[in-house]
Amino acid sequence: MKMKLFFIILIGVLQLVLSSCEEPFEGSSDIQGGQIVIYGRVSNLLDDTYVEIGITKNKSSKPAEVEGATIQLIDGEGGITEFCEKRLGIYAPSDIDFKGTVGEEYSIRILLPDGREYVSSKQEILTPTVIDRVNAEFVKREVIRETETSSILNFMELTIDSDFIDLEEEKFIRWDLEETFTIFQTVFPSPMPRYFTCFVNQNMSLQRLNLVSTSALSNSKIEGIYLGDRLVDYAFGVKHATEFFQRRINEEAYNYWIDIEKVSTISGSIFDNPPAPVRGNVSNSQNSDEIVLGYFEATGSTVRRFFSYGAELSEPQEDPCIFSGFRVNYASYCRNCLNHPNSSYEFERWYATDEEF
Amino acid sequence: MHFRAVFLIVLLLPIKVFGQAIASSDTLVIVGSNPANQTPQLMLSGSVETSGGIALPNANIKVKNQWKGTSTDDNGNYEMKMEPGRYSLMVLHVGMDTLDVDVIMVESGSLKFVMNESLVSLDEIIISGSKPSDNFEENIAGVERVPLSEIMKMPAFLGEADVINSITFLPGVSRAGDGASGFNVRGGRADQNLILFNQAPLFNSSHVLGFFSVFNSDIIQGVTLYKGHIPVNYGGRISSVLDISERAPDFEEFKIKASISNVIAKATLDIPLKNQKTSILLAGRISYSDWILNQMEDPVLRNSSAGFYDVNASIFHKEKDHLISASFFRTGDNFQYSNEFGFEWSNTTANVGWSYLIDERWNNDLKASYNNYDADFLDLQGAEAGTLKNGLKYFQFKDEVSFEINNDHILLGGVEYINYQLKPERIQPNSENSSLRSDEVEKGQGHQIDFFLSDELTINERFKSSIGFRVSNFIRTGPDQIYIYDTIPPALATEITDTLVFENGEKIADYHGFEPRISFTYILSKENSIKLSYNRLYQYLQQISNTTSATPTDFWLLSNNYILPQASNNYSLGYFQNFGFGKFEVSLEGFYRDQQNQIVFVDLPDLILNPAIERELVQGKGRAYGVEFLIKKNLGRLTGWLSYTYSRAEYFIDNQFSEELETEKWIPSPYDIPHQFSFLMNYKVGLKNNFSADFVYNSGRPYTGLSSAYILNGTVVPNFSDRNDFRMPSYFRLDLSFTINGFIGQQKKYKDRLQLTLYNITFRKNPYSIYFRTPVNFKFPQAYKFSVLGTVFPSITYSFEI
Repeated sequence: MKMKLFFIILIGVLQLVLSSCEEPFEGSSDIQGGQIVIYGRVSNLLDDTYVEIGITKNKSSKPAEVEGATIQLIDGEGGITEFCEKRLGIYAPSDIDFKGTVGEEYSIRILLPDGREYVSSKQEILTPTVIDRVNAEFVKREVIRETETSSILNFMELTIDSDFIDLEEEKFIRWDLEETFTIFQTVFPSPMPRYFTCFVNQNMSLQRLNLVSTSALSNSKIEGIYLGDRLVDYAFGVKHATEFFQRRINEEAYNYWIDIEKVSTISGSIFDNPPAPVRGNVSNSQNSDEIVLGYFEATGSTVRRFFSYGAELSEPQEDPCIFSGFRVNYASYCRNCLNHPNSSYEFERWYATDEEF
Repeated sequence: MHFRAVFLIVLLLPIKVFGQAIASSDTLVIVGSNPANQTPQLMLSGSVETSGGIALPNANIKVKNQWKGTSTDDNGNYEMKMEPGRYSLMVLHVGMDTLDVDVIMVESGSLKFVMNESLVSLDEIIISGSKPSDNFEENIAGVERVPLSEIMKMPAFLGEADVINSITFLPGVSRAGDGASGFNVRGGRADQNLILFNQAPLFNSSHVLGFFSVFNSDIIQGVTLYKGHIPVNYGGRISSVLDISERAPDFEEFKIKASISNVIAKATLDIPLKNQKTSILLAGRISYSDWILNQMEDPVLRNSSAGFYDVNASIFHKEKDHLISASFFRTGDNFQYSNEFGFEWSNTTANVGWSYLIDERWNNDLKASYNNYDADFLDLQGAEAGTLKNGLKYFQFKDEVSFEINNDHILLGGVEYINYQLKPERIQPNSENSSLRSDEVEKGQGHQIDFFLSDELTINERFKSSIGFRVSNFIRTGPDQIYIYDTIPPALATEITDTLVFENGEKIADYHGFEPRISFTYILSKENSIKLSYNRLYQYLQQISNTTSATPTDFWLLSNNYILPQASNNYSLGYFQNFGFGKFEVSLEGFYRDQQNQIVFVDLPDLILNPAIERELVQGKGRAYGVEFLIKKNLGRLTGWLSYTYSRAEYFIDNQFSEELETEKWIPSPYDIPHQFSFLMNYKVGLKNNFSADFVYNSGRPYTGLSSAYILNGTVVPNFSDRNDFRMPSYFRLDLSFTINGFIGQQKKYKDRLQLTLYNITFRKNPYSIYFRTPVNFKFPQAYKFSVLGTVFPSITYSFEI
């Protein structure tokens, strides 16, 4: 509830009583970018360990990817796992079967092509906790737009039931949501029509962090933990999979994510706490004054999946890439489905076989 | 009334029979009957009181066209040496019609002035709550008085006259923005102001999070703000004292006063008992804003509710030398945002007072108060549905004794004791489906006992001094547990090495403070003076709040072994000038305040239910300095004031303990507003109507801006700059009001008025905050300006009095 207080905190108290308003502000700012961002995760799950390196840009939330880094994952006994660049700026263990060991401590060492070296603190993979059930319910919501007109939209409301077994030991949990869906490239009339299918795998963009400390709970078994609403759009046209990750993290990581939540969910109400820069556990080993953004964490993770099919929805979604003789403008990913962020021609095996675990 | 058409001759006989003559407005009074008894020096004495028989302290009796006058004491009595002859006297008092009386002094005698409450606009409107000459003669720098009559004329938000809003037009006083609770004086935090209602401290002075104050203007006598020199009988805060007193009820006539506006209704009853020595004052005020919410398009808003209430009940009993009073005050707010969350708070204050005139020189004032404050925050949804509670209560006892050695020399001394009992911060589930675990954090208790003494001396016609001191003593006691850390300050500690448990009443820490309070006035000529003051102040109780405006989750915390008492040194130097026999007043006042143990929170502190709250803050130095200019026009059809303030407020964390917490430079505080400009005008239209306008301009407050942004595990994270590196756009607002007195018809027994108000007439969207919201789909955070009032707010208020 403590986190929730800051999150929900009386957003509309004054809006309620009065005609309070908000409008874009183009005032003074000092957006320059240039800070390095390092996010790393080691997990007990397959394909769940990676490091992402970027440099912040002016007026862009997506940092510029840093290529050519040398990354080592070091375990508590000095054992080293080498990483290779899987995608631009994203590095994963060279051993594709790598899974972190529960109870083991890990740290990372990163060497950039320009010679800068970064190291993280040690983080231990804690014993994962159990997901009882995941729930996805399709609901209609009235949404007030910035133009102050309202409309009814379909959403997928995601909740989870979990069992933390006992509350003797304080546990810190973060839930992540990822999604995988299919997009078809537009088939334009041609003597030799080209059929391409891409698969998008990405973090669900909810701009919301789901965190809990079991010290705040009276019952180890909790039901209906609300994780977020996903707007039902073209991603649900064919097949959509939601992955629920329940990640057990340590207290230091929990406090870091709480701070991230505070600065990323500011509502602008009169109750907002002043924002501040958030610093993680990665530092430049040659220059301790350099600001390094991001965090390296070890997670004991559990995953459950939920699948939905376009044909089963009460209001099927229209394919935005379907060819029409009267249309001129197509989204760039309709012309080339690889233009869609986080897309590829490959997909995970569980996506094809509907594996829920 | 200021008509000079009627003269009444009061002969010697009634003076002899009844002890003193009675003068109402526009009266010619002959004091004495036998010219043969003329002596060079005669004494005119008597009293000033209302038509209801209530003594009026601090009324000013002035001899026109002469630099001569006096004022009434706490019991409404006065004495003035005069030579035989004819004089034109003017009697002035806050909220009362000015009396003009012609007096022919024949021999020493007694004269009682009876004043009427000012209900209609007059030819002469006294802007100052005190006599005009106070501006330069009164021996206090940095004191502002706003008379009730002035507050009632100001354009008010939704038509509800507001004490707190009225003082924000004074130089050196500002607000964080529309709807911010509390106020800031000379760059101080809101919790550094001592707000007294009937001499009892209040801990929440705002309704609807700051749009209305808890003070019902129908029962207020006057408002005094001490921001420079703080008299010795006030203590406990390091920025200012706002003293609001309740008026005494009418002792002779039963009266009903009521008003109704768009969202608020209120009523007041004056109920004198048969003996005319005892009278009861009852007042109630309630809001009904839900009908506005029901008009909203947003279904969430439609299902929400907001409201507040105040109840006042007082009884006064007067004997020859005694005034005994007992009062009860309960106020509260409730708010619910659909079925998602809400809050409610209530404050109950009860006090009894006994003012005793021991003899002509000695006066004793006893006061005992009890206060209980509760605040709940309700989270109504989901697995973590729960109620967060906090609050406090206190018992206060105060005894003030004044001894008048002679007209020019007064001693004031006394003792004040307060027992603070902070309630544990508590959370508990509020639904069967909630998985929330109950928890509580003790906040402990404290005892503060202060002694004070001052010597008010008029050394000669030009030089006055007020030299005094206050000794504050504070003991922090359990129940509480205190952590021992591996390093000091706790904000840098990595672990807790031990825990000390203190039982109820067991001493945890104690502090003492010597607080000199010194003020000098040098009168340069008949209408100007310079004033100089130095004050040291201590504060042992602070509100833990990291937001610009107070929230329902904020709580109060007493100093302990880690959180040291805040202290300030306050210096003021001012030049004061009157023109045109008090028609104009001008002041130019400079101030400097340095603060010790200023509380500064670490980045993104965790303040709620945190038993180790000391880890979330550091204490550093603060400073505020500036110049305040004020010009007032007190008399004529057009009255009002104009003020300008240049001031700065900053803090600094030195590296006494650690470079990590050090600030490399002075950081502007959230209340650092360099330029403040305001004006207020009232213009009498015809005989009974009044047009008012006010305007306020403040330069923008500091805020923390954006440096860059990045994506972390699917979340876009704004990367913020150093604290308070940027400034918001400036604030300005223009309000207008038109008051029709005697709307239905002014009669002796029925008086009414209709007030039309346009608040924020320029539709200005003044910034409350600048924040950065991150849309979905990984877009770059967008800066938004949040404005609480986005349009003009018209209102109509009708009030009547029977």
